[in-house]
Amino acid sequence: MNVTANMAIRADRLSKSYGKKLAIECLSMTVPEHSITAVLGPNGAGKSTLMRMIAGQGAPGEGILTVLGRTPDREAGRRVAYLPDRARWYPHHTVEQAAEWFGKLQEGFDRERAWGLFDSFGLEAEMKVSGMSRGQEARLMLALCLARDVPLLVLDEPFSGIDMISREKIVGALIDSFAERMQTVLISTHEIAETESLFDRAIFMDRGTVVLEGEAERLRAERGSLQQVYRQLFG
Amino acid sequence: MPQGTFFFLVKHELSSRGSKLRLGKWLWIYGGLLLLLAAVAVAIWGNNADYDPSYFMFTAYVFPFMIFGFAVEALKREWAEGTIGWWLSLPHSRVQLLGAKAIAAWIRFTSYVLLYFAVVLLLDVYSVAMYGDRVTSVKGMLVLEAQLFGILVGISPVMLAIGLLFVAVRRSGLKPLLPLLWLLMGIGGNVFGWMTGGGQLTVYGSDENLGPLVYPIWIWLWLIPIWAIAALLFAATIKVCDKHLER
Repeated sequence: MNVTANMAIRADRLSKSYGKKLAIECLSMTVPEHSITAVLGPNGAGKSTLMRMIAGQGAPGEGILTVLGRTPDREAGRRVAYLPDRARWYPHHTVEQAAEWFGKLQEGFDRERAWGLFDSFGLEAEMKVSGMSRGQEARLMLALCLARDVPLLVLDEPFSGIDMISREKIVGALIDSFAERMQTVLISTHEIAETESLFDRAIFMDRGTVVLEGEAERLRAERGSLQQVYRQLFG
Repeated sequence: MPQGTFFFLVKHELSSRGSKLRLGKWLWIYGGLLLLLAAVAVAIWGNNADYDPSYFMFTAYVFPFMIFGFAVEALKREWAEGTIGWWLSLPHSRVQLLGAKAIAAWIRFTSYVLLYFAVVLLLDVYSVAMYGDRVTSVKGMLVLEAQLFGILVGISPVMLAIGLLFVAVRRSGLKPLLPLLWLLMGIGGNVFGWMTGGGQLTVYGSDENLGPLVYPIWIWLWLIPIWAIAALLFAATIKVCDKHLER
């Protein structure tokens, strides 16, 4: 990775608390443009809080955060496709209505691409969300986000609830998708083994701060695999 | 916001689970049975001097609390269904997002009120056909309903705003303010009762020469400060959603 590359995200000594609980503490990191970065760490490490702030949902208490060259705010939603953590979709929608909702309310939604993704994820237009399995619903939400033609994708636990075989297929589709588009992608996941091949970079977080960050290739060369790094740090 | 997006948001709200009565044909069956029961009851006991169809308008005192409930339900649903992250990530102003919820809740409220008033009017027509001048005339009922509807619609923005603010505060770091909002809801919900003078409705039904009841003009003037309060509460809801939400 070129160290002088433009940065899509810059965080400098960020802190964020909810009441008395400190969720992010003096966190600094960078995410280069057009990279696919994993955000890894145990539950409660502050990954979702960080991703929410990047998506413009909640300002940091202290520190500076820049996303695509500006302070993230509600307007950030125009240029950031964000898959929230523990998200569900509107139960009364069909796949078609979900696509219509996204197309009407979010910018850069590519309908043709969405239908291609639905097809490859095994989703049909008339399927109703309330009748879907957790995995099908997760695939729907992921497809909706991936169909947006925006410079930054922020995916918080996109594989949660999806079975292993489907996960592998989706990772394959993601590799093709990211190679085709020049997007910056930030993914938080606990499924490190199946998704490892996706990442150019990894950021390891614990107790609200970054404990290690670097290029995935270098980390693998030094320590075997990202999963092993994870075990060494948090095991 | 592209043209039509706001209406799309309103439509989305109206089609949400909980916004629709999903009983289908059973709704008509139960509704028909209730009407039949009311018709039989009026035929048997309607000649009693204590009966007048205008008494059914006392139910109108519940409506301000109903719209508060609809507003609470409209915003709370985003958390209950796990869709809050999507809703908050929409690149549209909070005025538009919350406004769409408020408008949808208001449409729902107005539909229920109109339906109820239509049923009471129908009952009045039936009662007049059976007992003539002894009960409130159809014209009198129409005048009463029109005024009550106007007052209900007039105070509805404040109850809507209290409902939305209530949920936003509950999901924020400002939770200690909740008891104050309960108090505000109680006061706001009773404003309708104070404005319409409560007991006036009973006098209306027991008068020998039942003429249309006309509320004094000051009632309508009261709506101006009520709307100003509603606007302030709505602005406060936007502020809480922008700055203080804790997901």
